[in-house]
Amino acid sequence: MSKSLRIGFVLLAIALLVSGAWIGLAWAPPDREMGHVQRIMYMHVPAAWMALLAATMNFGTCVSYLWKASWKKDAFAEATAEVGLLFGTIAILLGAIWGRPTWGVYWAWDPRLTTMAILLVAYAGYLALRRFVDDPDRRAVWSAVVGIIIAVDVPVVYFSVKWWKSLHQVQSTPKTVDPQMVIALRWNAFAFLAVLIVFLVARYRIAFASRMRETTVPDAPVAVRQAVVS
Amino acid sequence: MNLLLAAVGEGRIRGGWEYVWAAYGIAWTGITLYALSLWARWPREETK
Amino acid sequence: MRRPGLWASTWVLFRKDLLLEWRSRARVNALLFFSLATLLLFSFALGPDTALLRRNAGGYLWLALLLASVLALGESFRVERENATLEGLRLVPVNARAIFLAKAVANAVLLAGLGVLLVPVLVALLDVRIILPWTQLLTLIVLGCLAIAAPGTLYGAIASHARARDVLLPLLLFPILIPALVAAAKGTALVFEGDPMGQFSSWLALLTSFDLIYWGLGVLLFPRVVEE
Repeated sequence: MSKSLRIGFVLLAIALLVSGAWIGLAWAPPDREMGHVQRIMYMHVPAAWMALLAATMNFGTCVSYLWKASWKKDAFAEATAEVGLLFGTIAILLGAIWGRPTWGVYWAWDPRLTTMAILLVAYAGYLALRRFVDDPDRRAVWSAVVGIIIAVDVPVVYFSVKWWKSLHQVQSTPKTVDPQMVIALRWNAFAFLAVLIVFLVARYRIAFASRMRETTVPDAPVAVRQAVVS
Repeated sequence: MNLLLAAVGEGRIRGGWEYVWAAYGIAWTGITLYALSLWARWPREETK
Repeated sequence: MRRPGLWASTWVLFRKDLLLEWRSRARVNALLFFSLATLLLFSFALGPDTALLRRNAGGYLWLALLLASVLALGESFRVERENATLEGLRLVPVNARAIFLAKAVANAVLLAGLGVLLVPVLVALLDVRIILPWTQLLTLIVLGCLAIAAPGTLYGAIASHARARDVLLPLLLFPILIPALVAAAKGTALVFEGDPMGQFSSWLALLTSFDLIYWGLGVLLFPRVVEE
């Protein structure tokens, strides 16, 4: 990807994020019940979506790695776990802030929140595992195994509000929500998606460079290093 | 008692902007700090 | 030489693991006393309201088992690692799935035995009654220990070869086990308090699904964990 294209995309992400904030804070109407506090939704929901999206990508990459190993896949798995953890943490923190005025509590032991917290702690463990294994091959295989085990929780997080009686809202559809709110939510969702892509690409580059440093002979000319890349 | 139930006013929860700013602030801070961490970890080209 | 069959290998390895446990009875005793100490700790930290302690007895049982399992799983693989026996087994060649099945079942048996022994302790310490049939309690203990053993054996193998293995195993294992922990603890609480709304079967169903999923994943993924 050319450098100007990359910079352009980063600027696009920033622009979407800033305009999304204005749309969420000023343009969208206040909620009938929750008033202005409801505006937190425009950050909380996209963050949660991106976290689950990253987790799903991690699962796919781990399965793919076990099928046919490649350092690119291992680097991407590392990226999705870390970036997913970032968005998940933001989602849960924002959820707590939103919960205080609406539910009266920062936290509740309900299925959606519990399973999401499990997911985040699990990915923190995944990243710790990667840090504590020195051999790159074993690290890659074991991370893939752990990633698959963690992924069992992802559909549970998503469907928890449907399967069990939960304090958390059930997924609403655009038919039941004010159209301006739908637009605000979608705009911010795309903004977060752009940020997700920027972060994933950057984190992937960092991870892949680290993999190359670990696995190739330092003094080899660049051409040899390229050949080693699968 | 407010009998104008049909009019969509400010909502039953009045104000609450401090929560909104706290939330947006945390989200932006998190994103910014992570972006900085990515920049700090960016692989520098080795001398060939 | 013909490769030994899966079930034959599993049985032989299972007996080996149990025999090892029996021969090092001191270690098993230590586990038992550790669990007792844990229960005492809970009672002191969260007492002295006995009514409250009794209500939470189900939770204490499973927390004690969970903490003991970390020690048991760590030990289970420390022995293998110190003697390079896993590598030796792979050279025979033994099916890696047999190693997993044998070790996971052996760990489950050990933990279930521990659980059964802790029940009378709970009855004595916290004055719990067993209101539902004891067979239901036994089923719960067996399924719960199976739930700990499957991902525990998988992660035990991984952690035993990593740095900071004593921290890594619980860090990886505990979040995954939370759904099983909740189901087992809630089910046990119903056994101790009675089940007027008939919720026991749904917790049992959750625990069973957990076991099926994670044993399946364990059998599927363990060979990748121990391969060279």
